[in-house]
Amino acid sequence: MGPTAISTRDLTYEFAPGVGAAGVDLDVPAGTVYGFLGPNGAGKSTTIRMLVGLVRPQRGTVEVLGLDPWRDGPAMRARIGVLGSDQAAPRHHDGESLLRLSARLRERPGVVDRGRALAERLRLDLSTPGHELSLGNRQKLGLVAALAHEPELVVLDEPTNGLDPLLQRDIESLFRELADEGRTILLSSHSLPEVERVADHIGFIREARLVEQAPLARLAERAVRRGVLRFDRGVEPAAFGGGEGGDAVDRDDAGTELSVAFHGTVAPLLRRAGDLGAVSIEARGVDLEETFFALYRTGSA
Amino acid sequence: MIVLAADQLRARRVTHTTTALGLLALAVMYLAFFPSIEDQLSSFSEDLPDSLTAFIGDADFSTANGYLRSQVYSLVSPLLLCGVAIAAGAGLARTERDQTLTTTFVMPVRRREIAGAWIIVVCVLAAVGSAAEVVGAVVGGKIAGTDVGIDRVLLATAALHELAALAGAVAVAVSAVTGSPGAALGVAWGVIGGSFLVTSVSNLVNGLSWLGSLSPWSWYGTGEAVEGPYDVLGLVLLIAAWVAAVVIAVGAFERRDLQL
Repeated sequence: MGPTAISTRDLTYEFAPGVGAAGVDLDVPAGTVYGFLGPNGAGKSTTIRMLVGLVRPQRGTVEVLGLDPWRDGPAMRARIGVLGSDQAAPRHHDGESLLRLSARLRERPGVVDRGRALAERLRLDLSTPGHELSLGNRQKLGLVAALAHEPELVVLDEPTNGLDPLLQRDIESLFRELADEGRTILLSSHSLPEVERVADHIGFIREARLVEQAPLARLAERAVRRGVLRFDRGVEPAAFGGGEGGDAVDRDDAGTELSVAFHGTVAPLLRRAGDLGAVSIEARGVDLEETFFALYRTGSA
Repeated sequence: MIVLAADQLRARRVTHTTTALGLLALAVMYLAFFPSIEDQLSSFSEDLPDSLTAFIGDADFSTANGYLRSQVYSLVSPLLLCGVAIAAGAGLARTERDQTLTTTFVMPVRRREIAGAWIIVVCVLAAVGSAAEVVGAVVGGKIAGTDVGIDRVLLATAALHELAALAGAVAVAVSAVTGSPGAALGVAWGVIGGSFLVTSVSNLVNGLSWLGSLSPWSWYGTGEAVEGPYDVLGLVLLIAAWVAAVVIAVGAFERRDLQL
């Protein structure tokens, strides 16, 4: 693996057993979009709060761009952009004044112009006072503020909350552009389709523990695939169970059409289908969602 | 730190300009009444029970100087000014509770700079209110016919400023320790209101004077510099208590897990 933008070992902050984050070993490669997935309450936000220095880990180590978020907070935050999950815009700020404040604190005058360009791209009016912004526009302003200083790493907690699907796609392409420029994006989300569209790497957290972490391509290799087999007579599903020719089978009422989920190569399934005299076979693509549901079930077993 | 403090002061400029003008108008208005009620005040003050006199810092308000002390430095104005400072000091916890602190925190600023900015906000607002009290005391004093010099007014107001700054710093410290605006308001008002009561009661009860000597309100001296010598030790104690509150505020905010 190349250089990492974020590296944690045994990172732990537990509110109660299984609540928060426990023993998280996160490796976010530099220059990638890392999808940090998990259901609500799984520990994504707690992990992010430790990454940006809001809370001190109870145990473990964390390095963000080679810095300790707790000890080197200001130096680290100068190089990263953050959008919190419940971040609110101050009442007395509109977008323009927030960008000017950011420019002064970061001592980077270019922040205002870049912020204006981003706001135009996201169709955000920077003159609206913070307390008058809708949820979606508040998210847009948070994104503009997080990206305007051209950070090396962007940490985004549920960034597309409240945004319409069209804008979600615009923002996803913005993320890809940033990654192409060599920036790293940690994108926390509970929406697999969103992450699947933009991420290079995926980490899955469940009940405070990181249960899977891998490049998206490798996950796809291990992903659940599905084959639909048709027969001219009824076939018992048990013929495909047990992992040899498939993992799980659904069948229609007559038993002449079976939908078989399987891992790895299609060869065992084809062999078994041939033995049973299948008249047609249709292969379906990689189903990451099913993979994650499988992970979920494995984790809870 | 200065940038953050300036940002918060800018947000409050209308409210606090209005409050300062109100404090000034209140001082002038009270003092302007004096010439027309002077005679009634003489007989009234003679009949006033000791317990009530103690609540206005033992000021003799049948004289112009005593009236200035009782109206500007004894009760209403100090409580208003402390209220302004406490409300401002609780702002640190309020921004944490409403999540707007995130906007500041994600920028390259130290935690101590954030807490320090709120201390500056409190001090500046107390200074603006105190300046209004000085103008009110001088202008109103002319109308009332006092012979209090500007040096005396400034000394009494310096103590008033320190009392308000201390009240605000306590609110910032509780904000930093707890992140709760309710706790910040409650504790700071408890310190100011409680110490006012302690001072008043200890003036009346023999054997409780030691308790009064522990009270910030006693250190403040309720404007005694207007009429006579001021115990500078009181001002030193107010400043020392303020420093302690600042140290607690900054230290706690450096270490606490933030609820953002």
